[in-house]
Amino acid sequence: MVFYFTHHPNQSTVKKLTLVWLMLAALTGRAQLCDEVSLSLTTTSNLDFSFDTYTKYQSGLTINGATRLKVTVKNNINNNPDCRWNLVIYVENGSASTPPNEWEMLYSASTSGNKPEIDLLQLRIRNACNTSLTGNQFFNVPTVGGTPILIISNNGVTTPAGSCTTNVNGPGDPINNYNEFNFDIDYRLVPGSGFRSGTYQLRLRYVLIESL
Amino acid sequence: MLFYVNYLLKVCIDKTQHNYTMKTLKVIACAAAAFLFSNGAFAQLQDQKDVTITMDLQPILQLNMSTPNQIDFTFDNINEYYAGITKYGATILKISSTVNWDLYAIGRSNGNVAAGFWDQQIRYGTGGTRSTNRIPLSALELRQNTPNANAAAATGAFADYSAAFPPVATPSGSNSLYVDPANTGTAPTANNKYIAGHKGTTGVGDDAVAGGSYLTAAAGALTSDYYYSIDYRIVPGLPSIFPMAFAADGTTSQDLVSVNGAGSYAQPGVYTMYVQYVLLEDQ
Repeated sequence: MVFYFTHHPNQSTVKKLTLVWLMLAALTGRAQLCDEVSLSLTTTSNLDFSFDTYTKYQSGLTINGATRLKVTVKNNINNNPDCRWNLVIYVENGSASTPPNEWEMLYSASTSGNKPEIDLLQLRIRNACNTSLTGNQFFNVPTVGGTPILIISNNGVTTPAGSCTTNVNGPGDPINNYNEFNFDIDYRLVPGSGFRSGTYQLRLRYVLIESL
Repeated sequence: MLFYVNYLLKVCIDKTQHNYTMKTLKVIACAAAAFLFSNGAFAQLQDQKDVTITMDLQPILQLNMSTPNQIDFTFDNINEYYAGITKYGATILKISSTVNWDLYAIGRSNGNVAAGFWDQQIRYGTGGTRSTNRIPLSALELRQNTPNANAAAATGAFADYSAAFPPVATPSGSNSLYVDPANTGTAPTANNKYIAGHKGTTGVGDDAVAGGSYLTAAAGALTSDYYYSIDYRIVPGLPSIFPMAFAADGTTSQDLVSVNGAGSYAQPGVYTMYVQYVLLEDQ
């Protein structure tokens, strides 16, 4: 909300405008650009990788499509042309006592070998239009506290739904824009040899944010 | 917003031109506060979902052994007593492990004669007054085809079984099988023999072999730390005193004369024992 004036206001004018501002601030505040953003997870929220043979250690385990994210961004009321959204992944390893580059160790009966590092985990993010900025290849997850993984980012430009190109960030929903607003996440772990045996855990936080 | 910024600047700069009261300024301060609160009350729209990933790394220590169930040594002519019998490549050991590991062999028996000696299943007569059925388990000799490359911390005379079988004329404990005298399966010490790795947890190269597998050996490699061909030899000697029997240290002779006195020799009969190969995590 912007007021322009070309002359010096007197006290009365200031008081009136201030009261108006107070009312507007109390009643409406600053409106969002989009009406609604919501993220839906239609698959399991717990993934288990169990390595119990040497072959699995060497060849790794891949779970394709283990996570499906559905993005809904509505803009029917505001119809604001600047309604855009980000989709990012934050990596968390449980506690501050765990170094930022390691998995949280839940249990181990061994004292030999190195603890696995977070970049052991590989992700691949897919949809039919390949809108993710990560491409459709597996990549290693960065350490905790590092740069979050950008699936869709705010680059200041609205790429509307239906473009079927990289970084579609305009309003849409997973039904009408199936190829752009559904994301399948694949997970891969290839431990190899030399890691300390035990049970480890990691959490991925998928966050959908309105771009302001 | 621009209005307020502009206005406040005017207040500061043109104080003399506009004589505003304190009341007016208070109202402005309230407006600014309301503005700030209004921003906080309407944060960015966002939603989030969590996925928890659990990774279970189970320790893999896999020893594949191909060997006959029974390895028979039948001594029924003089040459075999003198020169002994050798079984080449009778046992193949193949290792796959995801953790650092050690491998050793230990001579075991049921102890029906005594701990540390071959079991006597049958005897062919008494064999005379100086005969004894106490044949030490260390009379069995082993030879591994690939030297132990991870035994820098070993302190004994022989770190492994890689030496060639010694000539019968010059007995040596270089290949005599490690035996726990109490027959309880106690692992060898730093002074004894290991096939791979050794006593202690210093690290790879000193007393441990890194995780790996015979399956991933380099192309063209003739040997591997994860693959061992084991030869066996027994030399009774004549008289049959088993001159190659040595204690775990590899230097103290356990031939029948050294243990039982001059004139001792083995009682004829059928004897059995077994070799236990132990693969364990180095920790």
